[in-house]
Amino acid sequence: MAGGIRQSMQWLHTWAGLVLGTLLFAIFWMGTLSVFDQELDRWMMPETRFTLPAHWSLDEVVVPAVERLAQENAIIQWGATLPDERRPYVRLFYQLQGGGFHSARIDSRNGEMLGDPQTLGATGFIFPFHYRLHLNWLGLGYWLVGLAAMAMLALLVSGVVIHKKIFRDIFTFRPGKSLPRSSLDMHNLSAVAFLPFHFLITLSGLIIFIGIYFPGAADLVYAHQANPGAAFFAEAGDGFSRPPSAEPLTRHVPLNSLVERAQSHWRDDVGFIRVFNHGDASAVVQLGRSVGGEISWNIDKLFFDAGTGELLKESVIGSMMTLQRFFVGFHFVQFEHWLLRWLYFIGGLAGCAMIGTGFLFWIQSRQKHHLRENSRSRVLVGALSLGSTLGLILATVAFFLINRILPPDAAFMGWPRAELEVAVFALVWVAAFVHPLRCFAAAARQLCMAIALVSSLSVIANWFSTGETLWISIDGAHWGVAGTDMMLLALAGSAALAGGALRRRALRRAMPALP
Amino acid sequence: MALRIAVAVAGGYCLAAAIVSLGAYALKLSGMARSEAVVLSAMSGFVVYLLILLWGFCETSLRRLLWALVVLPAALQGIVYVTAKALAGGG
Repeated sequence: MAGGIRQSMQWLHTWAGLVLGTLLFAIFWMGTLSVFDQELDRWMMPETRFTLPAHWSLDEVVVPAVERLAQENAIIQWGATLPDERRPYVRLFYQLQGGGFHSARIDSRNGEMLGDPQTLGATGFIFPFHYRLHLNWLGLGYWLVGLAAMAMLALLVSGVVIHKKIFRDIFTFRPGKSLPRSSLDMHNLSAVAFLPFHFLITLSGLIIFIGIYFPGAADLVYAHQANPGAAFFAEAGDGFSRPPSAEPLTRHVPLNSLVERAQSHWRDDVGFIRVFNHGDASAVVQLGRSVGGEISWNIDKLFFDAGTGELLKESVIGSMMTLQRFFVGFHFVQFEHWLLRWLYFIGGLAGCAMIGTGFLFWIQSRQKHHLRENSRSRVLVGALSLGSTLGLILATVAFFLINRILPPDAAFMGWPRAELEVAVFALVWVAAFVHPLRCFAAAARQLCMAIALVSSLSVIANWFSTGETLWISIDGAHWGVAGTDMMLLALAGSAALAGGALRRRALRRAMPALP
Repeated sequence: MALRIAVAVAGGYCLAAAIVSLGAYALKLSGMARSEAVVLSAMSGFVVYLLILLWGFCETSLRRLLWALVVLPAALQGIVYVTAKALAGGG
């Protein structure tokens, strides 16, 4: 490529940004929302809006529920993520004899099943969208996200290289200047100020999936094993297993006593329990340490004999694996620190702003050139950029609104309620790509106004469907619900302001044309 | 231009993946625990791939690009394949 490194980097930056910008914005937006996935879940699943009781126990809440399930069908193993401040119910999974995996939610107040949530919620839709786009065929979603993440790293590096005055740009923002200049300033400001965060959040996101993106390493090093990938994960995580004995389990050690032993051993909470060979004399109870206490997403585990309570094994992982777990925890932000969680949210929004203004700069800097040509490419890129930014935001709030509008057990043409919500999301998003093809400037304004309208309606729909107004949420300390309502109102307000500004500008432009 | 992008992205990935696999094996031979070698090598792979990508978009000579990102990865992946076969066969 002629013209030296800076020109090559300029080229790379422009085209990788344009081609993968849609994907990158979607990943950043969904990831930003996933920071508060539990809080959005409380909003979308009103049956889970309760406070975790001060005293609850595995033996009283989870074990009876599992026994009830086991009376219907033989269970060979089960596991439960224990409730916490952000998610007050127990998330249970169990495997039936014959293979099928099932999941359920147990109310931590009384041990009753909470029933089908009838929505994927944020943890089931927004969070998986962030890392696999719900494209499961051949793992295509993972690979597209991986490609976009590598492009993001390349964009960050090339963006730094093409900058002549990178440090001055941190402090430069000229909102009053002509538009391409302002959006470039905004692009630089959000990019440079958050550069370390954006680089590390992207790199750590890739590092979570080392097994997917570089399976060859385990395949070669564990080539002598029948299933190299599984052998690697078993060894890296230092697991434990033993075959069932075919004898029934005659006495049970209380799980609460094992939890107490694990707590005093780790001086930390237990976050996860898993029981292998359920009901068999060789049943094993695995306790996993909570991930809320430190940045690293630990995989510390203790294995006990379910009959005698004897400690069978304590897992120990190596230093490289510990480093990998640190990156995972850094990315997932599941540790208890509300200030940091908000900073992640702001960093994510800054990433969205960076990608959005990058698009905007591309369009505006080519506007004069293309006005002469009246080119089709500008129309296409305009629709692409509006659909992938404002359109995605509109589709997301439409997803929230439809969640609060659809009655329970709603179904349409055989689609259950949860899938209808996703269908509405998809329809709105597609429409937001098609709509701007007609008139870019008007569509930007209309999308802003639509976002403002749908966000406010979502808040109202939450009030009507649950009777929970904002002050009731605050009064009942339902911070997830109150926070979601307030964020939706803030989004409605800023979208209305942006839409208003766009309209005033359009009117000003139209003035000279009037007689 | 399309060829250059395909070579940098796909060829670059094959090269990075081969370096990760062989790197993990070399680390294991040098005495690191097997699982640790895999984790370290795979984590570094993303940085290796990034450097290859950036180089691939800056390199002016198409000839050098094809050598480094088509012939070299093919050869290295061949070595990975043969080694894995031999290890699997040898138990």
